Amino acid sequence: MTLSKYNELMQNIVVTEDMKSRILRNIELEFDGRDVLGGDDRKRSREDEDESNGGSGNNQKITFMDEVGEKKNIRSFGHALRGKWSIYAAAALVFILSGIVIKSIIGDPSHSSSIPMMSEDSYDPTPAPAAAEEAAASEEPINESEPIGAAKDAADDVAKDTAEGAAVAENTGRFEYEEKATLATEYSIGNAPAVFHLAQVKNVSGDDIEPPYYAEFYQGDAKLKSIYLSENMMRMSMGDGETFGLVWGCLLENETEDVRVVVTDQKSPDKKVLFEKTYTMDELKASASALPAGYSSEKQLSDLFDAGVITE
Amino acid sequence: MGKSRDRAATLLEKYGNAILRTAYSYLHNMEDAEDILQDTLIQYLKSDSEYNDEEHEKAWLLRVAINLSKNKVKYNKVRETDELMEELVSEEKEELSFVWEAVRSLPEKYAEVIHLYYQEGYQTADIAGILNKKESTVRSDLKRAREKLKEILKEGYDFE
Repeated sequence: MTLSKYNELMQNIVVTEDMKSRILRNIELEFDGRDVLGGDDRKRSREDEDESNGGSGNNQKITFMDEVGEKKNIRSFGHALRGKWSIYAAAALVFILSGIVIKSIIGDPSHSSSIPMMSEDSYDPTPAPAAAEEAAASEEPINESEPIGAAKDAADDVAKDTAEGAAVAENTGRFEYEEKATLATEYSIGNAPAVFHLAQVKNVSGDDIEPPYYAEFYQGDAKLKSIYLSENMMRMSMGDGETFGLVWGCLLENETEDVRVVVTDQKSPDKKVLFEKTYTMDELKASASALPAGYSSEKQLSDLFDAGVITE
Repeated sequence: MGKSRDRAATLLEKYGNAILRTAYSYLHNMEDAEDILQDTLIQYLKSDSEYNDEEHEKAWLLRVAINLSKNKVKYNKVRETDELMEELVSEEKEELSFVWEAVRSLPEKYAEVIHLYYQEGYQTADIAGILNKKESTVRSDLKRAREKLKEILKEGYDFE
C-alpha cells in the first residue's frame, strides 16, 4: 500500500482547537444535565455562535495542519443555553410538557385544539444517535430474555388485530412482511410525540440479498421526519431464510391526524409496496399498551419481537 | 462533571482526527462531520461497552461514526458546502482536488472501503467487521473502487 494522495488530502481535515473546545463544552452541557432544551440545541448553539460572530452558520473552514496554530477563528461558545435564557426556556418547556401531560390525562375527544408541540428545533431529530446506541448495544451480549409477559400478550393482540384488519401486507415473492405493532409514544430524546412501526421481514428469495425495504410515514401530505431505525436497517446483507425485526420511528407532526405507513421494496422495478396502512391516532395510542413494562426508550421495542428474530 | 469532559478530551486527542475524517468522507462537509464527531463521543460516553484494546475501541468509534454518518446522509439534509474541495481549489492543489473529486464521485460502498483501507490502514477483514459486511464483499468493493478510480484518475492514480 502506498501513501496515496488521498491520505495527503485527508491530512487537511483535523480537529482544530476551536472545534475541540466547542465539542467539549457541548459534551459538558450534555452530561451536566443543563442541556434542558434538547440535543439539537447543541448544534443550534453553534449556529447562534456563528451568527453572533457575523458568520453565515456555514462558514467553517478546513484548517490545514500547518495553519492550526495560526487560525484562531475561535467562536466563543454563546450563552444561549446558559444564564437567564436557559431559565426562561426551561420554564417554557415545563409549561408545554405540563400541557401535554394534562391533556393526555383528561383526554381531548374533540381534537378541536392542537396539542402544543415542541418545535423541530427544540430537540434532536436525528435518527443517528438511536442507531448508534444500537451499534453500541451490538457490542454487548444480546439480551435474549423472553418478551415481558403482559407486553407480549398485548403485542400478540396487536399483531392479530393487524392480521385481521385491513392491513395490506403483500409478499413480493422475495419477502414475507409481518407487522408486529404500530404505536404512538414519546421519543426518548426530547420526549416528543412519535410513531413507531415494528415489523418482521423474512427473506424468502432463495438468495442472500441486500435489504431493500424502506418505510415512509405521512400525516396528510406531510412526510414525517425519521428519528429512529433499528440497526438491521444498516445491514448490507440479509441471508436466505433470515428474519429481521425492524423498527422505524418518526416524529409526529401533530397528535390529531391519521398516520399512513408505507413500506416499499426499493429494489423491485416498480418499488412494490410491501405494506401500507393508515392508523387513527386513537389506534396508535391504544397500541402503545403493547409496550414492555417499564418502557423508557425505543431500545426496548425489540422485546416485542418473537424469540429468534434478529433485532440487534 | 469534569470526568466526562476529560474522557472526551482524551478521546479527541487519540481518535478525533480519524473520526472527523471518516465522517467527512461520507458527508463532505465540516459542520456535519463535527456534529458526527460530537455525537459519536457522546454515544461512547453513554455506553458501558468494554474494549479489548485501543484498536477495538477505535473500531467501535468508527463504526458508530459511520452509522451516524449514513443516517445523516439518508435521512437528513446534508449541507452542500465541501470545505475541503474549496480549500484545495483555493490553494491550487489541483492534483489533490482531482483525487478528492474522484473519490467523492464513487458510490458510498466504494468510497468507504477506500477510506478505511488507505486512510485508516485497516485490512479487509477489519473493514468487514466495521461495516458489518463479508470480507469477500469488502475485497470485491475495494477492487471495483480501484478500477473506477483508475478509470477516472488515469496517470494520477496511486491507490495500490
